[in-house]
Amino acid sequence: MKFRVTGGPEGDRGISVGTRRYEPGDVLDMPQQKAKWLVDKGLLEPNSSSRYSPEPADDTAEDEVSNYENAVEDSTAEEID
Amino acid sequence: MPTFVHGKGTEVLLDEFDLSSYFNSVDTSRTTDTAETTAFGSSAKSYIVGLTDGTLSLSGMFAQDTDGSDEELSAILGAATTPVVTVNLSAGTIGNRAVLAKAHQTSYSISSPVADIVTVTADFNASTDGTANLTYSIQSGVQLTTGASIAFGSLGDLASSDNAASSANGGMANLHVVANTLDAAVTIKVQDSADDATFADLISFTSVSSGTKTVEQKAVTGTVDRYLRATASSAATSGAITFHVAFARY
Repeated sequence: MKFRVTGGPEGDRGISVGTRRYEPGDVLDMPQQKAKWLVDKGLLEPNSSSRYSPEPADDTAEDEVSNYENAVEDSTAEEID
Repeated sequence: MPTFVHGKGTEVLLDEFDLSSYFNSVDTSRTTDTAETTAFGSSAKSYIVGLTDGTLSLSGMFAQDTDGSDEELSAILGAATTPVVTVNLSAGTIGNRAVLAKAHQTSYSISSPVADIVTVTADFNASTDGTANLTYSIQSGVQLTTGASIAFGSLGDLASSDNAASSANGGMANLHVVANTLDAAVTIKVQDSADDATFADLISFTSVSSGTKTVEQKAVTGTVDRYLRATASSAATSGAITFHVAFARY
């Protein structure tokens, strides 16, 4: 799922994922569950073209559908390095 | 078996100076006022907590070196800018304890006995000075750096410190850049993380100019996640930097 780095309250907080660096305004791809704490802190927000549900579904079938939808969305979403 | 800590590994950072080699004793004290609430009919006294306070005392050897104990302790007495002090216990290991303070120097004494070395003593009184988000002016925290010199090509993410849980009330970070020969500016940050994999910027210190030694204290409010680390980046192509970062949760 794609998220946009908001920068937090002051708008200047970036994100480091491994060796990759994402500054405010950048869009990154991250599993929804891994992104949850950053969304809760207001440092990430779902990119406008993505669908985000605050409580990830446990149902495997729904996950598969979600993954399929994300894959479709990913194929059209802009990648930012 | 408890893990005891020997005092010989203590490190004293005062503003942009590592003065450890001049001191041989450090005392820090944090106190909380209490106001009595005992009423008629009580069998025992009761209190509510009030304001916190803290003091710090350094003692050691007099030296008239440039950037030595006498020069620096003389310079900060009555200075308009409140000194920033970090005392690292068993220094050199990320995660070890530190005491962070912003404190006015209240006294500076020199003792010159006929049969012994000349010594100095300095006392400090912690003060928030109304600094943004600085809830407490002296607080116990953790070291996020080893204090080793880092060459220009080796800057990056340092190891994380695990607090075992997040905290909710913000905190403060001290940065002391005590040596710097980098040929470009360096950006130093404190980051936090809930999973030790993805880190978010928590505090961004002011960019440190090429070859500049500096000190800065910044504070934040809100949630500080479980893991903390320091990170540094620079476009430098030569030189090295020695910096210390410590963070205290409120």
